[in-house]
Amino acid sequence: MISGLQVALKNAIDVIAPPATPLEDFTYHWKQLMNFYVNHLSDRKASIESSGIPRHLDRLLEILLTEEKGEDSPGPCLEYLLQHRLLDLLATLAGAETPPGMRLVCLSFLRKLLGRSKHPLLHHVSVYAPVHRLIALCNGHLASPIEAEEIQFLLTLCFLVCKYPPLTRIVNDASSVHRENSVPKEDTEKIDAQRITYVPARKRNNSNPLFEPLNTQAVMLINPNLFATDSEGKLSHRPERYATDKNTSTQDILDKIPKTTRNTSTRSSGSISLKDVESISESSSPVSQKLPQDPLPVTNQVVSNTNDYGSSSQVPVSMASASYKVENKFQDPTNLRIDSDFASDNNMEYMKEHSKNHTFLEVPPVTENSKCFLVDALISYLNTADNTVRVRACEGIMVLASLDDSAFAHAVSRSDLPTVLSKRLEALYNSIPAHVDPNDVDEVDVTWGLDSPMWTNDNKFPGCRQVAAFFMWLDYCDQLIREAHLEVGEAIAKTITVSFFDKVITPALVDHHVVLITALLTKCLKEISSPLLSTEISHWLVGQHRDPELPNVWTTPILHRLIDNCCTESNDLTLETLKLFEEMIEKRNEHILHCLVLTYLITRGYYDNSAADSAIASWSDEEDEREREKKGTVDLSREQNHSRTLAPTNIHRIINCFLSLVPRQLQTDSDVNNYERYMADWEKQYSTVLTDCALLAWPLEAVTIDDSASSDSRPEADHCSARFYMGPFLTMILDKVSNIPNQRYEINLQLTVVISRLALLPHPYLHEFLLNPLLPLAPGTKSLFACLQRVVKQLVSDVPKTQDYKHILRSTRQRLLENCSQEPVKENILYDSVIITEEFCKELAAIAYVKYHRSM
Amino acid sequence: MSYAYLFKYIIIGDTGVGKSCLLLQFTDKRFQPVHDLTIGVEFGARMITIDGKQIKLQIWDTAGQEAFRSITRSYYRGAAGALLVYDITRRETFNHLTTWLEDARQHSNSNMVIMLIGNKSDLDSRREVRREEGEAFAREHGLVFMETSAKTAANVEEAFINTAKEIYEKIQEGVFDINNEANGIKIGPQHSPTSPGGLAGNGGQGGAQGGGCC
Repeated sequence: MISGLQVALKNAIDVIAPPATPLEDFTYHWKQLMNFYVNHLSDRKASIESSGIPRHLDRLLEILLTEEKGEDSPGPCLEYLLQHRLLDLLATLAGAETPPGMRLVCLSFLRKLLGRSKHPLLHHVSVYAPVHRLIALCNGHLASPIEAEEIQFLLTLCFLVCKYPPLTRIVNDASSVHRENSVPKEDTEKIDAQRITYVPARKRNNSNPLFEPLNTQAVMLINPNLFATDSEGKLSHRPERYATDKNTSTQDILDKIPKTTRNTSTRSSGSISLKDVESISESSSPVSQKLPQDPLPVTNQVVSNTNDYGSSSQVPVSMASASYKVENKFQDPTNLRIDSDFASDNNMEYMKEHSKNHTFLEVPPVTENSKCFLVDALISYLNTADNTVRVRACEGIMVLASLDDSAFAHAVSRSDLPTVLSKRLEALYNSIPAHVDPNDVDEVDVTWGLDSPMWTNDNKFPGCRQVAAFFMWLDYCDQLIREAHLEVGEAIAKTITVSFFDKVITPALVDHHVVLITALLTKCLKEISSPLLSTEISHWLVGQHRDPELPNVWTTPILHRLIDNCCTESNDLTLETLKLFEEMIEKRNEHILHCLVLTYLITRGYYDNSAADSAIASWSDEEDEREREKKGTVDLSREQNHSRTLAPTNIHRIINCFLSLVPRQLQTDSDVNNYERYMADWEKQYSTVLTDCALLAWPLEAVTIDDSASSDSRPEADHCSARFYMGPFLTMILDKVSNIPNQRYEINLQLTVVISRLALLPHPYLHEFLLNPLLPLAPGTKSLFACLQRVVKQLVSDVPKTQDYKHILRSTRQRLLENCSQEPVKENILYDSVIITEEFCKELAAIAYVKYHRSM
Repeated sequence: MSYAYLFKYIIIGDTGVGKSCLLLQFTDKRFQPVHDLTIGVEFGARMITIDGKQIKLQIWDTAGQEAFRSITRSYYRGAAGALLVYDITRRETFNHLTTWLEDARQHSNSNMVIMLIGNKSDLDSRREVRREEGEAFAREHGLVFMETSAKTAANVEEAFINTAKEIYEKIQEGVFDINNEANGIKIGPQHSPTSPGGLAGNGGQGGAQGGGCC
């Protein structure tokens, strides 16, 4: 009733009074706003709608924005706002959430003011101090009904920081906040004023009191220092967050106390909305532990006290009286609901014990090793259940992480960010149900931003959402690493590789869901595109050392685990792991290819020098001549992409070798020259491969290091060739080739895919090793062609044992290649193998020809 | 809300050219003269009909400021269409088109349909960029062109729908691989093609992804 009367009265006054100056208008609305607190001493819980506060704030904002139109220098209203620290008071009221809903209104007011004002306001101590306090109120670890407004506020700050990069110091340097609470304010402000380099000189003009160090005219309604006891009380009864802080000294913690106090946010426990968009909580995942859904049972009211600033003298009377009464109200002991168990427990031992292992839920904005206030606040929203809010937090972090400011980047890289990203990845990974079909994994194509609205209703296959959530997060991490400042990107890439891939995936490669995990890993590898993360992952996969391994000495645990996984009884595991190898080759990552195969081949240990010299089994006369000419030298006069190794003149003999490998009686394809139909496709793929590999600085020709020049090296070279070791991967692959007649069709098919991928690479040594059957080989050296010959030999002896084998082969071919399902023919590994060998030989011939053709 | 296809769009262009207003006009059919700066990326959706088929458009309205470019780059990937907007009353927004286009082409999939839009056609008296210039730019870079007014709603529907038509045609021509969601196109729930069989029954070696034979 009273407020209704007020409105009526106000309207009457508005009509009667002459047009007021903007400042009068401004102060009027401000006083009206404050009057609420005077008039509602007993009724602080009155709803914000009836208080008229939003309306007054809207007017204040309007006046401020109108004032700056056409004016370059700040007008009287803005001066009043800054000088009388109105924002400080608002931040205090927001912190106290008086009346309920005040925080939302204040955040929105400040967001609009900062976002729309053309003045870079944030550097004023009377703006950034309250902004800091509001940032501290924004804590995504506590479910809040106004998350959306909180994140919007933070995002606006991100925008301002990007717009005026010097602000990084202010918004992110926690120490400046600390100083704000200490007494020598003048010094702080002077320092801050000096740090602001972009403020036009005239704005620091002495004639403008606004930009002079303020004295103590501002009243701090609430002195955060007095929360110290409160915060300690709260430290303990919050659920533990995952441990991220290590080795924090007690002193650090004690230093932080004044700041942590400002995080004693008040959230009404009834306001928790479980926006359970994400299904993490459905399954056991670390995230659910990290997201305690039950807030504090007791709402800690923000306590206020004015002892420290009680002597402030220049307070406008109305404000002073209003605020004084509000304070008194707050000091009502019934509102101080500090848990008695902990309120007194503030001794050092206690602090020490708890600071070592825990990050306290309510203090993430001030972590021990980070000074990135804003980043820390945004980080706290990364695990929120609300999709939209999380994506916004992701956006904010991305813009901050990409700022070109090395000091700031350094701080971000040392913040919680890398750990939080990696922990979330792990949590989402853990939430993927074990029953997901590995074959479905590859179909999930998502990006972190675009797919956020829809993935929740997507239900292509059971577990699809969880798989999508995981890959969306991976995509975000990958993109963040790509966009971020180098130092930040490196830190994130390292942390993800160590904490997720190494700590989580490595042990999982032996567990009983390994098939699915391998499929997920393959997809991860496929999706990762940022160079930094690719490099880290490649090191994890094949080790950092580039030298060849010795036989039976295993120095790269992951690679050997994968190779072992290819040789188990489980066909599914073999198949998935071969797909992973295919993806590893397809990444065309120099380090992976080098460690996997190239490092073993570049010594050309497989090559028989003596045979070439004596021209026995020579490739051709011309080749021999080239060989003699080129020993030890690379002819740079030749055209760059013209490689004789890739384009030998005896190409027709080579192709014939492949095409005539399977004898007539086993051939089911009437037209031997059918290999040509593979060519168009390989041609296309080879173009891509060439582009991708252009920068890898691979040699042009396969040459033997000159061995005639020094007689010392010759025996050694022979020695080497006698012990040629093709490395664990190629050994496994060729073993599998020899085993073609005994393997299932799917495995053989994937095997041929892997080899084709390798054969397509324009690396001269790899090329001649795989694709030149005429190459004289050192004694005892296995080669692809030799293995295939043995396979054919076995097939020739086994297959004709059946009477009607020609007919069976024909129908097998139909079933496999022509997808004709009318006539179900019983699967038979032996017949399947004949078909696959025949087709594989054609493929190799096609690849050899495509490479020849492109190198001419 | 079933649909035959879902297309993902993004709206790009300098700050203040009216991207958010275009989206608001298209999704809500209203104009908001005072609009807060878009911070980050906003999202809107609407259903349209093309060729008798329900098509859902999901539209991301990006922030034009340089500061948010890193985010915008992230959103290019996986979009089927882009509206590249400039302001006909501000020459510099037209001059920046090349940069936008380069950025878009570099980070999107090659088939992304780009529609060039000269917005604020209602402010003809303050026009700084002639219609012919927009047309010429579009022709030169293979874009579809249109002048719109988010305020009067002139051509706004058409801009979004024509982009969708273009995408739809590309699907009919087989340019877009609709099974690959990385292209920014999704087939509606009831329209999913029968899932391909296992490796074995699916065309032999060619069936394997990238196998390349047959």
